[in-house]
Amino acid sequence: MTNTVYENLYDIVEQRLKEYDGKMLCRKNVYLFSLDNEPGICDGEKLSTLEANEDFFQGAFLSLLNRLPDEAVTKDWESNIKSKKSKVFQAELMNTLLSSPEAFIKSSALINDTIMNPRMRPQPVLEQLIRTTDPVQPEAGESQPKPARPGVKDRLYKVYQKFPAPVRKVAHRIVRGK
Amino acid sequence: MKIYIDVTNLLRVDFLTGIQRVVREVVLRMIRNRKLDIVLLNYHDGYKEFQIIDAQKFMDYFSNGIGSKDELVTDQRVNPVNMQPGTVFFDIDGVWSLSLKRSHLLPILKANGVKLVVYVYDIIPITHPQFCHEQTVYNFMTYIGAYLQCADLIIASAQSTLDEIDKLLEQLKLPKIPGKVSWLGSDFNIKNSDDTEINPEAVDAVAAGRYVLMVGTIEPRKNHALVLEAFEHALFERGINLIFAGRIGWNVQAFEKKIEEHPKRNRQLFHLSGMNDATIDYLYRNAFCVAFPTFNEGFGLPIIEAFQRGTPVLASDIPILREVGGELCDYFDPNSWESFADTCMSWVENAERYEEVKRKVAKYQPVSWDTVTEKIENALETMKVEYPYPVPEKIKQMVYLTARSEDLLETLPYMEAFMPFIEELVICCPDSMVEIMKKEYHGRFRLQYLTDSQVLNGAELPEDHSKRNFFLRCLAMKSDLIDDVFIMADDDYRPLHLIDQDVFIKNGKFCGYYCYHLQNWKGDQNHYSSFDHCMFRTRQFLQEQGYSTWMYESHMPQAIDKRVYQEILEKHPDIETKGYSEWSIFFNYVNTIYPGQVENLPFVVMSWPGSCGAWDLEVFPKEYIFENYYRELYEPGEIFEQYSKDYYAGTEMENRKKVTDYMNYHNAHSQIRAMFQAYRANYEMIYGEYPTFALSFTAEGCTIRLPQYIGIGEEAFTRIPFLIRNEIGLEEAEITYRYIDVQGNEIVTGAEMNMALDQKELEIPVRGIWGGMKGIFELEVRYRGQIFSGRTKLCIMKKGLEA
Repeated sequence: MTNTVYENLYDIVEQRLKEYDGKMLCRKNVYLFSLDNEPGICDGEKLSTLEANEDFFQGAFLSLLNRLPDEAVTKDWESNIKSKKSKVFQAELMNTLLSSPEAFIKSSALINDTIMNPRMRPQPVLEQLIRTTDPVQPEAGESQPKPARPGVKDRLYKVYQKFPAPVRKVAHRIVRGK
Repeated sequence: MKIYIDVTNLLRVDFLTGIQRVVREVVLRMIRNRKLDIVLLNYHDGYKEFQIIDAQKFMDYFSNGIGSKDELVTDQRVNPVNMQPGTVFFDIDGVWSLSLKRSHLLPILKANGVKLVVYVYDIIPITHPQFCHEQTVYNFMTYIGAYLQCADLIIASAQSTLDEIDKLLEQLKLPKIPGKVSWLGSDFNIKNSDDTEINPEAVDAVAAGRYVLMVGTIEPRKNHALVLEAFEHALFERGINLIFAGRIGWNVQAFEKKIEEHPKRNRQLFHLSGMNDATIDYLYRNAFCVAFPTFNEGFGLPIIEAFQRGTPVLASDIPILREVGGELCDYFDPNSWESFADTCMSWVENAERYEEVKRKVAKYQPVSWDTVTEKIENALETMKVEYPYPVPEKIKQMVYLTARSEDLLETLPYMEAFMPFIEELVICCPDSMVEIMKKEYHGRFRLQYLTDSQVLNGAELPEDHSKRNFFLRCLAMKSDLIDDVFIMADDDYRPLHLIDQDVFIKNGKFCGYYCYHLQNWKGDQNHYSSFDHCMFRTRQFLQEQGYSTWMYESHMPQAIDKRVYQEILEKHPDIETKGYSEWSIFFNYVNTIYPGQVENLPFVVMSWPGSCGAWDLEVFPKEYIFENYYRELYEPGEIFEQYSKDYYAGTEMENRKKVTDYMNYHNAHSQIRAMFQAYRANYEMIYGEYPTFALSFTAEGCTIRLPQYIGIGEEAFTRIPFLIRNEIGLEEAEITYRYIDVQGNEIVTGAEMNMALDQKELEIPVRGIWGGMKGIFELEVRYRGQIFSGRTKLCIMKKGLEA
């Protein structure tokens, strides 16, 4: 399979639409981008190659929701597409799409996430927890690894502070064994 | 012949119109006829696999209205990558909007040797995109674009459509695809008990007086506006009414408003939406005539449906409607309401003429769905090609390619004992080996020799191992010494127990033992070996030729047909020196040209690969019949150290123990893999992505992205994929990886490698170091004189074993 065939097909359709004062809804690079996507899987690395906000916007819809954005949604995002810096806009868009019910129903997922910064990753607290409890390399002369990194308590406390009050209350009870 | 049909769209939509009705009628009959082995599929977005549909329940539901759609799907699933050669994937449903795009699916199926057949209703989104929804245009471009490149057969609903496809293929500079035409039927099943009540609104509309009927979704392409205009100007005033039966489609808001607010609404102008089959039947039967002013159409089913009820039709003067309506329709210019009004008036004013048309129409013999289905089944059956060569009942010859007399002499006793049906060996070997064999071999086989000097006949032998083997085997295929069907082997493939020839040929079919899919092969070493390059070359050749791409290098003897090999060499005379894989070339060719002649089976070999960690198994043997003999595995400290390297009276018994040991060894490795899978799943949960290395080469430099951490079993190897973004066409990258402790001291030397970047994905082995400890994995890339590096943590998950 070659992209040339799809490119030519795109050109044919575009030409016909032009004859009737119509135009293609998405640009050729966006169309080609989506062709060999695995169903429901959006490759962040690949999606990032669509640099213009408008292309990225359509590419994200295609790879996550398997459809082009409709007119109303495009209008909603119009000001963001035009004004926001790419990275901020991209992260916001992906966050919105990934948490949408449609993405959930369609079992869509993002891989190779180069788009959202760490703060916007889905479970930053869990991430921190897991990493603080990783085993660490033993000191010289010790044969067994230590269970966790020194200072883990401080780090855990920082995580704990980030929880909302009701969760903190439960966590407090667990730690105290109550 | 197994036919897969994806009916996902039929199951998802709540209505049965157009394509859905066709799918229902054809599929029901195909199941009932039992002429072909039909497997209905529903694509599941979550599983990313097809679910198999219970055919009986499908019939009950769609034929008799028993049960519900939810109950049709079974627990059985089919992953497209496992669809076998010789099967057919047939698309007849309107599946272009599904998440599983054909641009993604068809190359996978093509690589498997699955035959691809599509029923095309029309290509209007390409020829007349102005009449279609943008999303449909986009989806259809992808769908038809994939089929134009991959289809083995196109069945069109009309000759005009097939002609348009041919024109499009020409425009796209693609080769012509075999095509058949099977018109649509019109004897729709309306016996569903829930579906027989005639809508009272329709009864009122019919009672209002003589009417012209238009059936179908209201959309710009159908040109309803022209008919209404003709009525407004000329026909309402003549006491003729107009009924539109069909739901409101897209881009007709203004027209919809016009109908709603029309002064003649519900007196002379009626719009009936959501009518059942019985009501549509009632409307057809009572109409003065049916109007079909469409600008373009895939088939024009309303014409047939009207004829079937004895109702005359006024149709647009376009090729497809001329094909379907023939002399029984009167035609008008779809761009002129006057033309329509005049044609219609010619019937209103000339009762004799109208009655004559009616009499002709009454004699019309519609194509039945039974006929349509039969035509489609016959077309699908053309995918089955009879194998042109007689397959002998007995195989008696083995052909070896070897330069190692010692290894062959060690292997032959196993063959003598466990393959009693073999009588003769042809040994392709260097001239010097002949004397040794004559002197040293005293077994029961009759030996014949094809020496290098005989087959080469002055030609030079390539240096590369794989190229040399392929070259010699191609030359040997021309020799009369070799039987038409024989078993091809290397000198270190040993049977583990007594076997019969059913292992190689069963029910007249060749058993092809595969161990991988070539399109997924990423190489088994840090540096690509001669074997890896051979696999890459073979893959490229097979893909270019449109052959399937299973990997049959299973390191076991397999049956080969010399006549097919000669056919391949005749068709591709330049391949002898190209260094392809002799096994994959043969079986993939047969898969594609003679589908169904190879029974595709997972390989049955122990010690392939020699080390479990060499590469991740994609296919798992269900049993072990052969051993790929590695002398090293019998050395002290290795897995087979306690076993004999040579055949003796107790070998069969000993092999049983050996297999058990190997399975334990293998299971331990599988546990490591399971640990890695657990890490992967955990990683995905935390970070919302799979752990992947990503290298991006741009004009500005190189960017390295590593997973946040790598989790792995102790002392185990695993392989993590590399994604390459190579914007500058770099051929190779110089890469070094090593393992260091948290202080930065190197603890295990990694490797330096030149990684070819022409692949989409590469894999790099990552090794767990010491139990319970943590190290750091460091990756360096040298690019344009600069070094780019990245680091990530290496976490040991659990004690494992060295693989």
